[in-house]
Amino acid sequence: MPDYNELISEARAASTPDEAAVARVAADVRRRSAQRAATRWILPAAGVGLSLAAAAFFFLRPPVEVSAELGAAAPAALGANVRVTAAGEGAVVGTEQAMVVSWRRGTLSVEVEPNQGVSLQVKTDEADVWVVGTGFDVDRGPLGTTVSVRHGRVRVVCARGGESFLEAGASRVCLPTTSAGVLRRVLSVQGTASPTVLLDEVDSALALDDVDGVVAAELLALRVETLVASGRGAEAAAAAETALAHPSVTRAEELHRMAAHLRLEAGDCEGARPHVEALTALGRLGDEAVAWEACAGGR
Amino acid sequence: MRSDRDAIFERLVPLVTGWCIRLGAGGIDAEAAASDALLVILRRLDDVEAGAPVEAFAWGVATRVVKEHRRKVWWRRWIPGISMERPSGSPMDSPEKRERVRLVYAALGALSEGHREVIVLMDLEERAASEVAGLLGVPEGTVRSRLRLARVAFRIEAERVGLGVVHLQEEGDDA
Repeated sequence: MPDYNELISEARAASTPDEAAVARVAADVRRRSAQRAATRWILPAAGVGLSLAAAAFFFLRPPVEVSAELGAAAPAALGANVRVTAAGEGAVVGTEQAMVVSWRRGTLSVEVEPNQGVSLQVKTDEADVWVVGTGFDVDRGPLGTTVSVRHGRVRVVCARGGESFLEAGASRVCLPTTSAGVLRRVLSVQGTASPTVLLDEVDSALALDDVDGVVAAELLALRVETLVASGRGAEAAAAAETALAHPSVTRAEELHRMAAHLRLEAGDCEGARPHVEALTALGRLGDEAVAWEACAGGR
Repeated sequence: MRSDRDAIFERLVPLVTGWCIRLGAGGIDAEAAASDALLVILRRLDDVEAGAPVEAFAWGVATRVVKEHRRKVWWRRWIPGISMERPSGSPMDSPEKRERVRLVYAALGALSEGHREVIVLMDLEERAASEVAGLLGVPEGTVRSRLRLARVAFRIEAERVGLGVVHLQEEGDDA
């Protein structure tokens, strides 16, 4: 029966490293330590090199230009981080990282990848929209420019109305900036908007610098209609006469008729006279004649 | 003039090499394991707190490196053409003695790490229980009870590998 102590004693003697083994291990450790010291800089240097290359790739690469007409055949992607769907007319210029879309008509849907450092601006006559990492729609029509945010956040500056930030689900209408634009808007909403709102719109358009010619004449005529609809007869009669005095007057017969009615209703026969005479000269005197005879005969 | 670091290194080389031979139990390239362990020890020597025993730190590194080498060997045994046999004992020894040493290694290699470690330190290196307790970071009583169980386990493995029924030394013989 083998004895434990004897077995262990034999194993001890066999497992005690001799001088040669110790020398081999020591030499190997020294060699590897020296090798390690010599190559220690390689990995950090490679890391620094890769970082510099990555930084150069992102910051020093020449900007990729973006320039396209936007319409039915518009490109779906403007660079790597912007996708658009265009149903209308417009154009984009700039680079992949900074671009400006000039949108003239219709609906433009924009999706911008957030946190990619993309600066994107959509401009219409009525609004400037800045992306703050988002998806949004810009619709330019007769009512002005409507900006609707699907997700994210945009900054909108209306040419008439100042700056606002829109969150997801919010929208804002930027009103037309020209008198012709406001005229189109008023004609579009005439059937649905209240006379008070319409009158404000018309007055705002008449205050614009560019108001002139036929547009001004038509706005003045619309002003008469809205005053009549508001029940402000006396002001409407005066407004009709102002409209009729405009060199580009439109709808003269209609204005004379409204003015004649309003003056006669107010018992102002002298005020009604030029309008009755004008209608008579045009051969267009209608049922005003009865009221006119009663008014003139009763004097 | 030699630095303290050099002196520690010279003291640790035979110690760590011996640990790797015994803990490896013939199943690994002990000199390669010792070299790996010493490199780690040298690299992390500055991390050892002032006054803390360097030997206990070196023991911890050596056991981890040997474990890693044993794991690699376990995987490499599936690669055709690689011999897992390691020479046992001195070439000057008789073939019977060399065979007995090989079987002792085989029995040691079959033990759990805890049992193998305590037999290496207490029986093969003949250290005092208090010293081994410091190296293993366990109480002295634990070292003694673990040694008793380790010897019983060794006897079982020794019989299994073909050494026959081993006669164990009496209680109290250790250290």
